[in-house]
Amino acid sequence: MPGLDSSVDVLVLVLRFALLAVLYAFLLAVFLLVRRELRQQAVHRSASPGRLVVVDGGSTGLRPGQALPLQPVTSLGRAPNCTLILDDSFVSATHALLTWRDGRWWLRDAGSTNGTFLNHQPVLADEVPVEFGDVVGVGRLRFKLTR
Amino acid sequence: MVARLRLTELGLLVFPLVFLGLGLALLGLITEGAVAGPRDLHAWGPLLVFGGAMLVCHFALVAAWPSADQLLLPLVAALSAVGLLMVTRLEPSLAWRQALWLVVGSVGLLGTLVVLPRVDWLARYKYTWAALGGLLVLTTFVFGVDPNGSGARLWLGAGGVYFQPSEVFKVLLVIFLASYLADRRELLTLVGPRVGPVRLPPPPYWLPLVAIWLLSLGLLVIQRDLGAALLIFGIFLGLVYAATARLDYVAAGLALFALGATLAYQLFGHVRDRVAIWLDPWPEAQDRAYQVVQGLIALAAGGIAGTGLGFGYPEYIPAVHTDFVIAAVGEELGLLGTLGVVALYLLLVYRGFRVALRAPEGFHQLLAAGLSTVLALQALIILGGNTRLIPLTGITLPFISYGGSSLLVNYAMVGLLLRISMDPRRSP
Repeated sequence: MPGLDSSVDVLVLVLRFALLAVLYAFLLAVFLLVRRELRQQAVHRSASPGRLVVVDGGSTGLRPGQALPLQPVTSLGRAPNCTLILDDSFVSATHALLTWRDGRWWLRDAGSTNGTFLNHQPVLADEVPVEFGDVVGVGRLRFKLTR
Repeated sequence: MVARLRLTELGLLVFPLVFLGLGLALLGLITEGAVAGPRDLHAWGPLLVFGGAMLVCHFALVAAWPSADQLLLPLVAALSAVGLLMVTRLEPSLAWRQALWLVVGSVGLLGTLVVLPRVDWLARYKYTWAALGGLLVLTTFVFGVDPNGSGARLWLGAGGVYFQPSEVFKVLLVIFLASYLADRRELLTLVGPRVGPVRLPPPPYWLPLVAIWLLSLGLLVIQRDLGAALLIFGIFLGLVYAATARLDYVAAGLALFALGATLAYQLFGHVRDRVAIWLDPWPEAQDRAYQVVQGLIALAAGGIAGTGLGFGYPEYIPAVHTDFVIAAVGEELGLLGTLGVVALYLLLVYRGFRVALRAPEGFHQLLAAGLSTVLALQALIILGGNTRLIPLTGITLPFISYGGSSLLVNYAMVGLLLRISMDPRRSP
């Protein structure tokens, strides 16, 4: 570009690098936010899940008092692709879903034949929050959610 | 309270606007010899229009949808700012149009949020969407026009405004696939007859899927819209994998792709051209490979920090503002600029998949994953094509390339992602 005096040259140079600097400052800001968020999640996760303790195992062969580990998204049912496979004739293929989100457990029915229960109250397709100590019913089976 | 006010989003939105402001000042400085005064509407207009649109989006989200994800809008704004700046640099006469298209896009984003109080509604009419998409593409066979001489009649036009139906088609296809797979995700993991090393589920469950896939690919290949065909194939594979977690399906899909690619190579001259140019562009550098070669030269000329905005010669690349924007970014903002843009896409796609992971149920998850896959694949296909990583296919760089229908559709897709990201228990 001809005819530019040196003060303009300097300004152009400053603007050129300021442009890139702003782009990278933005990326850094987003990166730091994402990292903070992921760390918070990691804290949540380590403070999370807990276990299901068998109260009534039906014909699954599970003994009362046995503790079953939970995944952040746990599907309960008779199908082989469920996280917790419960081989009982009153349990549907995919019976219920337990999900860990926002620091608590949520339970919903996944279209079962014999129903999902929270403290003996039926649970429908809409999620309900589950507290530690609550009794989760899957068909005729009963589990207690503990830390 | 902070989450309600979406201060994170507001704070992050400052960066794209400052970026655009600095860029426009630099452009003014080197063309006019001085930074335009604050009242110079001609120079600052696009910035004001774009900034206004982003702030309206932000405050509408604060008012009506405060629990939606706060990083999506700033990331999209950053990509749009890069796009608007590059269009202003490359085709100054189109700057206002691009700014207005960004306004239209913002309206599309907010419109999606308003029209869709519940995402489930989309799943209910899945075959309608699929049919509508097919119909849209079919109309281009009859009424299609080719306003910019690219050799393919992919646009519908009326009154100087052109619209590319395949842009809408990809979103409709994602909606259809997400709802179809969400309904049948268990059935598709059942084991049925064996074909070679792959165990297939019973045919009635997957035949409609394959039929629609073949149909959509056929439509696009015959139309010579290879970029869209590649994109649709990728969406298909990505969503089937997301729904079933079966790698053998992906392997089978890739085998089919190899078969299809070989067939297309044998049948279509334009496919052979593209592959030949990709493998060795240099003998035809003045001819069929001119665009690719000029793109490579521009990227090489940029080096690490670029020649500086306005100091390169990206105008030697044909269709630079639609098909080769990244080459212009590479020339004038350098490797640092291109990597910055790639990082923006990376974060946007990460955000989209995070929305999918946190979504409450199957359809929402698959829809969010599908939309993120579209953005990722589209960026990958065109960036790969521009840098000669894969054969070049004409497809827009999301949020950056000049182009109205692409911007509108991509903004509407972000509207959908924002909708899915909202906590369903806290929304009305």
